[in-house]
Amino acid sequence: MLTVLLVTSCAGVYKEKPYEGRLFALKVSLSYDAESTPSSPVPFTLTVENNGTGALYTMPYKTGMELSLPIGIYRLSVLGKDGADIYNGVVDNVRHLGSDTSVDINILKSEKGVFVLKEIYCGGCKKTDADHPEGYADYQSDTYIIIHNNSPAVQYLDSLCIGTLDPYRSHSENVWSGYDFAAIIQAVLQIPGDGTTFPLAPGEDAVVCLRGAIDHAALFPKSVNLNKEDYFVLYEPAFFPNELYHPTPGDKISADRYLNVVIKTGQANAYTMAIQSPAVLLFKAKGTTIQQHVMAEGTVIQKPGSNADKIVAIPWNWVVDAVEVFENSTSNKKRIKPNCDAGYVKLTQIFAGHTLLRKVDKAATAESGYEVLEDTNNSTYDFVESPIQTLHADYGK
Amino acid sequence: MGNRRLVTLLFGLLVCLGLEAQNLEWDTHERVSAWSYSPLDGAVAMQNPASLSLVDSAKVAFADLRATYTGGKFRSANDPRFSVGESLRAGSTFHRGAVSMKGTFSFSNCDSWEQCGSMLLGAERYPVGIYEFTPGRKTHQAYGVMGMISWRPVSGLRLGGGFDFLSQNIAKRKDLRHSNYCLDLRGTIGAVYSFNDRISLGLQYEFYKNYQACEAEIVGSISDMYAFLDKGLGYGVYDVWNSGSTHLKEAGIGGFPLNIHKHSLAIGFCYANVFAEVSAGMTSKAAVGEKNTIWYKFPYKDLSGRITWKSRGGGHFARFAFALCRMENNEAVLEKVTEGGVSNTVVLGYNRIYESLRKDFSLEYECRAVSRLNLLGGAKVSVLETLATPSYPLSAFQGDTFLNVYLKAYYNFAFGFTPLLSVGYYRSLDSVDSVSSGAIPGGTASEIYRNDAWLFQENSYLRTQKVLLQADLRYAFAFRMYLGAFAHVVLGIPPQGVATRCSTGLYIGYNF
Repeated sequence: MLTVLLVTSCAGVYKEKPYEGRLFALKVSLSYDAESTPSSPVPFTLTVENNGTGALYTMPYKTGMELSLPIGIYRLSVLGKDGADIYNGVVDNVRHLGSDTSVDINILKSEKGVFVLKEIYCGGCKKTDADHPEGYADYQSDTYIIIHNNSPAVQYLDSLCIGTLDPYRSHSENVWSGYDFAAIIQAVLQIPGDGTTFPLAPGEDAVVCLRGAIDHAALFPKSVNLNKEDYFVLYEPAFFPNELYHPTPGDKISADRYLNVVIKTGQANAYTMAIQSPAVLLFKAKGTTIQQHVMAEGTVIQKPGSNADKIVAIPWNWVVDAVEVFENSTSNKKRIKPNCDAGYVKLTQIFAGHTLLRKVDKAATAESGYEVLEDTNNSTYDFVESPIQTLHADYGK
Repeated sequence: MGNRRLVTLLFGLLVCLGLEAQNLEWDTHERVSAWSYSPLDGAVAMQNPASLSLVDSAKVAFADLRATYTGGKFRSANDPRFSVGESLRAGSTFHRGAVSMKGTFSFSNCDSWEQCGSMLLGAERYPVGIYEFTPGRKTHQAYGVMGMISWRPVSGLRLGGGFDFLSQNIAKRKDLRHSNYCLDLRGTIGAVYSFNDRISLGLQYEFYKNYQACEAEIVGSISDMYAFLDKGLGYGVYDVWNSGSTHLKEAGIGGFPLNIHKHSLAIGFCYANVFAEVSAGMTSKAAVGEKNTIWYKFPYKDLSGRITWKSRGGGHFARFAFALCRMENNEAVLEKVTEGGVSNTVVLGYNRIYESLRKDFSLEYECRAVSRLNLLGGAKVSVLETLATPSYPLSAFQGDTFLNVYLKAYYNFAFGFTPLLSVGYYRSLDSVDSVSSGAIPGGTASEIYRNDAWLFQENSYLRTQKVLLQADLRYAFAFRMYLGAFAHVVLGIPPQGVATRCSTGLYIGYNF
């Protein structure tokens, strides 16, 4: 024993080939559904992420390619573009554990959306005063999203619905992963209108305040002014009576821009969007109305393992746009189907005024003459985390 | 981690200088017995308890109370701006017939101001570290008790057993605040067989257990206090403390629990005036986490040996010691599995993210040939290699070689005064830092976070040349009581200029 210890102790650290014997082959192949097969070869970019360490590997995909990686649980995604057609595929929770592994990624075809989520500001900011310029408490009454018309034609916001998926946070257990619908938690919100009430020109934005539509910046300088004309607001005291989060809207907000609460399935007295990692959906009912849909049998479902939470099941093909937000965790799990969002965007800091912002497609913008945003249905490529809200007075300075 | 383990070197030097000494008579008595003393601190965990009566049957007993103030600009990122401490220690040996016993008791309390940095006690033991960066007041308390007994059932054979228990706690009172509980327990049994007056052979087994938990919390309303989890050479996670990625707060797990179970065997051999001992140890458990959620496993093994020569009259001692320690750290691949609404964490495998190898060599000479004078001098060389492989294909290497030399002398004047002077010098002989980012065939790998500022600060402090000076004056008066005062100064000699840190204090004690 002493001899063995002496020999092994004297040998130096294995710095020359530190990963020798610790890498295993990961074979990657792609498969296509009939309706998703591209007419001509499409170049794909393969992204491999280690769910545990966050290490990210990016490379062009080659048929029959084989990667050498240490053991871990990986998320593999591919993205290809062919004109207006977008091809996405993702396989989550690939267990690569000490032996060679094969993974087949099913490719789904999707198209650029008409409406896209331009910005998601859910992380809150700090309350500050003269004595505490860096902040003395957290503030989260200023949550908003921005919807953008990314198409070349005028579009109408009327009846467009907003919701977030269960589970609220990305690291929580997703009991709906085996179901083929989007599980909307807490409430289904809808922009009012008769079909032509709220037009949005190409490249224009609509701000939707999910909490207070007031001048938050007047109270706390790190926040934003949400008391502006044309802003929509969630203000429905019958469902969400908490005045801290849902104060009476400001004088510039007209009552016809109050969102409809189609159904409330949660029990909170304020609308809850996770500050760290929501999965946000825009969707529109097809062949029916959302009001009829939520009344239909089997649409509102009790969450397994919970006595309190119910969800509203929405068909995935109703989804107009979706963004998966992950938090700083090694346990993030996808909630959104790959053809709606094959990736994710991370919100690394909360209560810091950080916001998630969709990138501008500069070439398309220059060509079309209006602001066109990236839309690959993969928020890893489409989104960035911005250190300041776009509605903040200091944004762009 | 490698450079955290360097801290031990500095502490080792302090010990060599006698800065940790509590009672001259006790420490000198310990050094007389080759079975009980090594010039490498920690190289031999405990004395073979069966050897208690082998060399010296003198009775030594003392009690010592002291107060210390420490302050000065030359400090590491983990040191407070200043601290005030009190400590009490008592020890005794006992011999009667075939039975010998030895025991100590200690208590210390230290209040520190403007301290942050490492959130762990004895961080050098672990390959991962957790840090916070908000200076605040910290209180540290330690309770220690040690006991040994030796029994001679038949002529020539000695059997013995012993334990050494240390309980520490620390509390920081400013966000990010934390409380730590750290327990160290050693239990040992041993036997020594003396073939005749000149030849003895000893065998010893020791079990060592360490447990520590760090429970962090905030009381204020600011939620985004940050912490840094170091996985080796500055690679790790800098994140909001309760985000989960720092492991400071996870459901069902108390704090940041660390566990070590280690087993050691030692064989000692004494021939006339020469004593040699070799010991080897390895962990059966070394982990961060608890229950099914084990984030890291860091097995290590060590090997140490020493040779002591004593002149026939006991006036001269020469000692050589070495210690090797090899550690690795394996990060778990975890998966949460939910069945029937109950979530369990399953470990699917481990990836090695860290390796370190430490080699220490020490040579020491002590002269007691001149009446009333004690001279002690020595040198120690430490070689440390650390390899971090936090994420494929990245690897980082750090190698360091350090030299300590020291000289200490004290003289017992007839009228009760005992001045003690010592000087030490510590420097880096060689240091290597390299990073190999590697490449993924045909692709790119994301950049891995490294806390460069923190690493630079740690390495700068540790690689700085240091001169250590100690002056201690003791006056023994009636009824074997003594009073004393001391000052320890560490001079750091960085390129920017000299900075100092000083410990001063008073003590009173009694030799029974």
